[in-house]
Amino acid sequence: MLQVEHLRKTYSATVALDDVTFEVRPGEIFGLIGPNGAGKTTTIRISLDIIEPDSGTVRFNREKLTPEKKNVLAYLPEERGLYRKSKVIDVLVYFGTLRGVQPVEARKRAEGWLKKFELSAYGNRKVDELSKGMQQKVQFISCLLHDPELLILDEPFSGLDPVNQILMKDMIRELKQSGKTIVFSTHQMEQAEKLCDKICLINKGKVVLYGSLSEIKKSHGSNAIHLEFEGESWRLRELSDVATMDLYENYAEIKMKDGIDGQILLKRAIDLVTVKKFSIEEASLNSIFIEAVSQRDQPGGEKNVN
Amino acid sequence: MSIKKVLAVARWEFIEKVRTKAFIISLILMPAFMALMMVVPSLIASKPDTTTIKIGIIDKTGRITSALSSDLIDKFKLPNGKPNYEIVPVTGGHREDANNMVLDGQISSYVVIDTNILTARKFEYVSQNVSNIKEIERLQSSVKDIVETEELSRSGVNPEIVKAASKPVDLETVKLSKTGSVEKAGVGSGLILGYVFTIVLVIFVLTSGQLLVRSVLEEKSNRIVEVLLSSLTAEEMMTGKIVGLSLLGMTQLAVWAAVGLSFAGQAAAYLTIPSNVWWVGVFFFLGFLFYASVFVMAGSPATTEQEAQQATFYVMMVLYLPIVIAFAVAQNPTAGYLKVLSLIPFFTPSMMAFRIPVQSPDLWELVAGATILLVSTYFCMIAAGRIFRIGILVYGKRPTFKELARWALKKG
Repeated sequence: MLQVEHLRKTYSATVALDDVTFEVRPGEIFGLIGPNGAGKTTTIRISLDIIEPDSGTVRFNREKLTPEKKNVLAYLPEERGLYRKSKVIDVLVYFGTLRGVQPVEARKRAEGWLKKFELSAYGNRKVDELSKGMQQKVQFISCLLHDPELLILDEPFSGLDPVNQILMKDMIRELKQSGKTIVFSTHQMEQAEKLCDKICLINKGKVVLYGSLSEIKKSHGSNAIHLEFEGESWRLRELSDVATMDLYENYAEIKMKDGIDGQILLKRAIDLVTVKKFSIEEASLNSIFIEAVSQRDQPGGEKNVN
Repeated sequence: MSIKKVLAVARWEFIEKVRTKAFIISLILMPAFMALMMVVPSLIASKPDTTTIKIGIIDKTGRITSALSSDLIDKFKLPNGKPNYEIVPVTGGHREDANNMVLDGQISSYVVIDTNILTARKFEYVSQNVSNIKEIERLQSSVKDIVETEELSRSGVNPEIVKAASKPVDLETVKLSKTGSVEKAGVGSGLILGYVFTIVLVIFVLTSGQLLVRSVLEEKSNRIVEVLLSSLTAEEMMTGKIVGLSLLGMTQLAVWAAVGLSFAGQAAAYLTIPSNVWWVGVFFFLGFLFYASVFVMAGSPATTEQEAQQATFYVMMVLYLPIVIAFAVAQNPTAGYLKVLSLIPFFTPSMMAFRIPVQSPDLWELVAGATILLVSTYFCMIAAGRIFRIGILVYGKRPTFKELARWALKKG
């Protein structure tokens, strides 16, 4: 569906993207993940032909993205923007016609979607009069009017309350079921973990991890120790033979060094804190993310750009 | 370029702007203001006197009084048919008496004719208000006629012959068009058309150009532009905007013209309309498109209102150039160098507007001018699109002219 190959983009002195390559297959939910400033938005903008890369190519179904092909794309930008002084329905129809939908048809579809999002009463209001959450829904609807094949959503969950986050998640699932391909960027690993078929982890403009989520998890082994406890969490830092530790007030995800049995950790941990729950499972995407990112940042790993 | 998308943008820009209060207000306020500016002063200036004005005279020659009196009575009447002016000889002929009469209100002013008026050729007008230009001019011209007649009859010329000889000669200009048909046309009306054309064009380009730049800026600042550019090309977007706002300008013009003509119906009848005047309309529209696209090209790299204003300031200077040149054109609208200027896009619209009513340019000139204008407009729109697209993510730092040129020439 979408092939991104060897993208490179520099902004004066900073390298924003360095040899970014990935492929999105039809029907996938593809997560573009990475910390803030990793280059996710730049990758998306280049993919959509909003800005040009210094080198590298973006192809759509193995062909160059022509202006006509843009009609099957949808884009939800991170910084949401609608015409504030215009009526909701008019803005929706306009965005629809920009993607080649006939005005009459666009209006019909817009009304349908507004109803689905329980916004029918607001169609004739000015965008300005809507709450932020409503505006975000309207912006999302604007991505759906032309029945796109590929939706590219930049941080779709940011700024949404929990109820609307669920709504967004359900929408993304529904779209997948109706055969759409979805690319979304996020720095919230929980969302990516719940939704994605495939991920591409970008850090400092480089692809750090890329592949199907299940394979990535498998390759990280099912030896992540999830520990729930009470007591002084900092004491867990005393544990030896630990490869990585993601430590919270009463929860820790720990990866042991190769060849070290998890049972040993349990024995030692009991002396330090009151263990409430102990399990050995797959690593969470969050800890994989932290591991991958911190490895790069450590001396001796990939050279630190800063 | 997808015409459908261009039209979608044009439609949006047109409808959204037409609905704004600012547009509706400008649509009504501007003609109202112009009408006020034109009608009120002329109403005041041409307001006829309602009562006979008494003008004193101290005539030391003794021969002017009666001639002046009858001349004024002949020429100037009040709306009710009574004479506008009454000449009152100042008894005794002393200035002090005359001054008192003015102060008492018996007369509003007086004139002093010295004995040597024929040689000195001057007389005096005394009043509390010496800025009544209408009255002064009338007196001056009457006295001049009388003095002339007297001088001529002194040298033995029959006054009747003098009268006949001094009748004015009317000039009627007749324009022979290329096809040989003959029509009456005033050089003056041609120049008026040219001036009005150029000034109206400038006003429209300025208002619409600013609207355009502002609309681009708004989309840039709230990032709608990202959605737009992921839907269509920058060239399509710019072309759509320029077309939409041009239509807006034309709507405004049509409304104003209709209002203006209905107000000034009488005056408009004096303007002889040349047969190929529709070419003027063509050049107005093309000129508008051209200037608008230059405007957007200048404004599109801007990220703030101030930057946009600075950039568009230079365009405005260029816009005023034809007005400056217009003075030279007025001297001789058929000069050869104007043919060259007519083919330079920045001057084409106004030069054509000057030339068409006076002496129509050859058909090839009209076609060539229109074509050059159209092609330049097209390239400006494309360049504006490219500059915009590349400038869109440049923040904080203003691009240099060299960079802009590189962007404009870069292939999309």
